[in-house]
Amino acid sequence: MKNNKLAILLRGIITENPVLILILGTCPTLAVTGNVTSALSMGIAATVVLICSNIVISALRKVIPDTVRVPCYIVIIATFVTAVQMLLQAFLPPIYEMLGVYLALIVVNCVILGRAEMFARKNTVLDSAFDGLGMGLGFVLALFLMAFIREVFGAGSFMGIELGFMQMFKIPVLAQSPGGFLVYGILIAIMNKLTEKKGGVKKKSFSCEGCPSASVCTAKTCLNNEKKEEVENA
Amino acid sequence: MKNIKPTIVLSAICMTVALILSAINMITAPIIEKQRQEAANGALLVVFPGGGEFEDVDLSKVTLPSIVTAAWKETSGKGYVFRMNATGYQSDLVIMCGIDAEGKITGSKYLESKETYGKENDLDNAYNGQTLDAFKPVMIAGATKTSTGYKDAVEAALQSFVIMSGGTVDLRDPAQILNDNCNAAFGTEGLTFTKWFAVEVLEGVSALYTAEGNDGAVALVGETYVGIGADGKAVTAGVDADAAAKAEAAFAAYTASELTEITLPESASKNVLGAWQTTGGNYVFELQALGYGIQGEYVASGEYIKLKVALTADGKIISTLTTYENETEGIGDVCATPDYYEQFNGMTIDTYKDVPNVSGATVTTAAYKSAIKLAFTTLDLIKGGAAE
Repeated sequence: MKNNKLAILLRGIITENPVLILILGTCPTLAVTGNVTSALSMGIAATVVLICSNIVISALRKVIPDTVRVPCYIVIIATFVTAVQMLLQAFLPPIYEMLGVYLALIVVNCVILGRAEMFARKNTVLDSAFDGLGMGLGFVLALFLMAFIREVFGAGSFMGIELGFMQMFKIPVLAQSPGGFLVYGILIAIMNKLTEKKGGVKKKSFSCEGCPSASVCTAKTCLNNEKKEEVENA
Repeated sequence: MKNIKPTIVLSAICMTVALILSAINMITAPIIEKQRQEAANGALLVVFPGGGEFEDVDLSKVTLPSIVTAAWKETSGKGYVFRMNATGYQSDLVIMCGIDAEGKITGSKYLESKETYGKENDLDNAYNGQTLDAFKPVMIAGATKTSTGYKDAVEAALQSFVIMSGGTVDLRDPAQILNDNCNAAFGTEGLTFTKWFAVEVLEGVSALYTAEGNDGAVALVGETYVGIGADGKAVTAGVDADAAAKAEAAFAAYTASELTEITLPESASKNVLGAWQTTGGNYVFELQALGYGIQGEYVASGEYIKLKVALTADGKIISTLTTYENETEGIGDVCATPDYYEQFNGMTIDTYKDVPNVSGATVTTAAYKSAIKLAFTTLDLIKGGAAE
């Protein structure tokens, strides 16, 4: 039981990291990783929404009819996002100003809707909470890593504080939009290499086993498998 | 029937979250409003240092100059802050101005503009300490329209302060005031009056105004507008006899005056385009000045400034009028404004140089003065003197 919860938690952080493995939430990842403060703020806000929405969706999983589940999920997620938005505006206005429109866009962050659809609607409240926490931590860590590289090496500063030494060797393109894509791509490549070596998911396999969500997938048939069979039969 | 459960569930979720969000809003809304108020106060303090709390003024309950878009009152009565939307060279100038309880400007700052040279920065706080009674425009060379827009905004703030303090201010523009006064003197409505280019000396009368479709005129005697009918008699009721007599004499001179063209001597400058003598023995010259359009180094129009000057026989300017110019917009075109060319009225060859050149439009205004001098020298020439 204890090991099961830990596995759920760690899965979101490493093997199913939403940003670097599942490639979800790309828009805010690229947008807010120009500096560490905004990346951490966005990560924490998204984690709070993710945990809360996972808990509520899991608790209501037997009440919500299948036909209206997505509208229900969106309403629940939007509620938590709006609540976070109002609370930040009231109590942490600098963070609210810093995150700008990306805060409201958490509503359509595919990490949150993805976990609701993939995990929370099929698992218990406690497991869903751990999944939300793990995925949230994975999201925060990925954003922090990207923002750290972009701010320290691109802007020569850390959380807005100028680093004297780095000012002389900074690479400005890293702090700009193209630098975001560059760092993102390199981190994905490194993550793929690391997870492959540790017996992780083989990205070159186009079957169900190669799917990062295979462990929670309940589909009876897989489109990839059907295609593979067609190729083999031919 | 199978759609009933999903509808009920979705509706129940929506209602529940609406309740939750309204509860959170009840907690956060006052805090957010307080922060918004503090931020707004912070912006007002930039132009009203030393102010405390401010409250909005309901503009629907007072009549302020039309360019005033918002106003705030310092709650302890220290003064007001006004926001204006003035027109600059190529954009709206949004300007904020603070005024203390004594009617003095405490600060001014532009908030938004897209002006060409960004000169509005130099005008921020340039009016500090000024009052409406002793208002003196600040003009920046090369940014006449921006300066004028800024001046209009600050002046509107000062007028607004007087109104808010219980005083009265005439908010009509000068042309409207003139037309209203002239129409009132005549007992007419809606006529548009223009100033007569005086070629005769009008004793005791500072200007004569005529309107199309009306055979009479209005004379400004001191500060009194006196209407004169087509028969030459004063028609304005309640005007004293002396003012009426002066007005009638001026109208008689206006109607009797005719221009006779003079053939210029060969030695006259080619920049004198024409010369006339009036019935009263005065002289009128049409001249061209080599302004920036001719002498300018960049984007010069290639066109002369044209002006008319009326002189008495003994060499005193009766009136001056710019009839054409194509000088740089916002800079050299100052020569076409009555505020500029009417400065020469009453001047002689010894005093016309006292009219200062306009900073930023020195080529234009120096050329204008040369043309004025040419009127004097041509008069000498006509009267038998030597050409310079």
